[in-house]
Amino acid sequence: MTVTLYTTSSSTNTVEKVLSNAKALTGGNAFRTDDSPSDRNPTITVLAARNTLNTYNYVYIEDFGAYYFIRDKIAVTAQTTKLILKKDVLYTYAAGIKSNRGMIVRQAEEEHSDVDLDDEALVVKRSELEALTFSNFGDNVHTPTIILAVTGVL
Amino acid sequence: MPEYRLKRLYNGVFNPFGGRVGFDAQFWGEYTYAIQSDTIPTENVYLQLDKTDATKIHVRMRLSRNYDTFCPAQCGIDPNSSDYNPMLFYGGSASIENWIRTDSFTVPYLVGIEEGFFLYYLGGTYGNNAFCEIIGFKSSDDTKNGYTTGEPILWRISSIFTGYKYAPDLEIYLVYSNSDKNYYWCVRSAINNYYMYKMAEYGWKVYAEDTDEGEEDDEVIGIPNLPTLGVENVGVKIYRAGDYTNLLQYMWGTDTLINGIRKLVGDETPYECIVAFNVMPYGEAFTPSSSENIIIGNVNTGLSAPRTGQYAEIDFGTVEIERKFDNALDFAPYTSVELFLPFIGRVKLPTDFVMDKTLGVVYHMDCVTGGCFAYITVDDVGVIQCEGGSCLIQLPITAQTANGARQAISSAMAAGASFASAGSVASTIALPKSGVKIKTFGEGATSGGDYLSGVNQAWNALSAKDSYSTFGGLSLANGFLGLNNPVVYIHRPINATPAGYNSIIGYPTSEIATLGNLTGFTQVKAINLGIAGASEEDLAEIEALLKEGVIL
Repeated sequence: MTVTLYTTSSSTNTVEKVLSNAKALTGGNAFRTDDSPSDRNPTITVLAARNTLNTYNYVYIEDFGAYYFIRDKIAVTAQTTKLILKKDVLYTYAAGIKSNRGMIVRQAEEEHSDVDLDDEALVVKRSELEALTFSNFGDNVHTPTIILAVTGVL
Repeated sequence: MPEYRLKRLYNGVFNPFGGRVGFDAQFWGEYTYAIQSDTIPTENVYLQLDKTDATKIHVRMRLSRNYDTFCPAQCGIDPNSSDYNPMLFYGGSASIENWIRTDSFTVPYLVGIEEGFFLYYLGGTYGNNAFCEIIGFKSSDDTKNGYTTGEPILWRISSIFTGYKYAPDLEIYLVYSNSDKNYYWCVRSAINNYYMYKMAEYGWKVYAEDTDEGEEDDEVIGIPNLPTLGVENVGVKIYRAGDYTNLLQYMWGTDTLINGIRKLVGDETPYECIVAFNVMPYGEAFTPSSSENIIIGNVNTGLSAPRTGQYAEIDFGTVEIERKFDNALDFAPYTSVELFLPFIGRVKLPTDFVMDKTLGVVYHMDCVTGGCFAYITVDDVGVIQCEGGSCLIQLPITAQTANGARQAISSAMAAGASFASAGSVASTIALPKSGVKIKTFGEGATSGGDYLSGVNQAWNALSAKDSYSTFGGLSLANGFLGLNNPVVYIHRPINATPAGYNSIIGYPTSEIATLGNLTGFTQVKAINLGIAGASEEDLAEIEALLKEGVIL
């Protein structure tokens, strides 16, 4: 099988990972060693020493057309290492995901946000007091007067 | 050239949420077309004219971002065509969201309008550009466009026309042609070289969108006029002065005790005719008129004071309640707004209603009862809250307050002192049981001697009238000592949210969007995924990840 090892520092929830340090393994240098029919969590063995694989954490398997996280690396012999993989469905189906429409509740871009919505992510501490006076402040001078109301016949 | 009647609905920078709609009549002669476009707006503002009865059209605006299905090419209309309105149609359901009722006006004529109609206006700003465009209406026999739809369909018409620069002088007109009995819809910006539009060029049937049951006009609740009926209508005269010393002297002054007592309990009891004798705050509000002699009962005191009315209005002005954070922190429960009202106290206001609004306070006051009523107003809404209080200090000269004095006198009489018959002459009388002779008060009487204790009580009661004392609850006096202008107190939180948090967890939103049009952190509430090649397990995992939040 054809396998390409990568190094990525992208977070696992990033749809399109940034990959580097590619190392292709072809032919008998990489082969599947589990008997699961699924391609979601395969185990492959590569002909490489465990300590030469330290920088790699991501794999593309051309045979499956899918990207995988390397969940674990187990030295089988001095020159063979077993890689336990988990399918990265986000990058594998990135194009399909991006063509879908969904109801969005949080979004990083301000232009797509409605900041007046309740936001549980906001953090506040003690409150402060602000005092505002009205525009006619002072115009209505608090000058009391005495009012006399009487009944009379004249 | 037909005669046109125009209503200018808007004039100024288009702001769908803070905008105003004004109108006046102008004459409009000719249309020109000078629309240019280079940017599709991301937010559309629709102005809807909604005929709800025979003479009224309501103007409403809505904000919509649902434009991505916009497809002018389907219509085959050249938007820059000079031979026809460059209206662009597409069919489909229109999402109605965020309708804002802004204003209504009376239509001069409604000839040929059968059920109501819709006109949409797309306008607003996008970046440094302004876009304004006529949208459209449903036409059931729009033969010029080839539409011969039988059943009315709500056409949602959008536009690609944007561009031009910011339009601070944007004017929107509804035009009624008295000649062809049709409405026209025009936009103009003089600064931007007069881009204008006409709409509904020929007869079109119209239909009315079903409105939600119970939906009513959002009318501004105004402050009522001062009452026109009061105590003056039953002959009570109200005088306003700063000092009534002479009057008090007239009533109780240097006269003899006996005459004083007569004024309390005898035939001449002027205080019985005093309806109110109050110290009122904001005296300047009770505008004085010409001075008149003070007439109490049937006695002309010979003293004068200016007359005034029973009611007065005090406008304390307005204050802007400005946002500070431009996010949810500006509203409840994070931010709370209180209003201190003189003579009433603190009032908690609904933050969501007053934030980013102009708050006003107007008092109506009644100088006879001391009642004060505060109208709290918010722009575009009117009166949102009313609070009542009392703002007078009642002087103890009225019949009610003199009752204590009468009680004292009665007590003295019950003690057996028959001083009442002594008239104004001092005399010596014998007490019935003991036979002890005592001397009563009279003119020229001096202190000393065997004065009856009950008479002393009466004298003390009379003396008390000349001094001010508060009446009623402490709150009334406290009101005089407190702040005499309204003050708004805003309790704002201190935002401790780290800057750039949106890159990690995003801002809140509520929109339906294609994920490919978004970048950065995105969290989905609901999605119906369809991805070729993905297994059911894959789809379930993707949906779960999208709901947790992903970075696009």
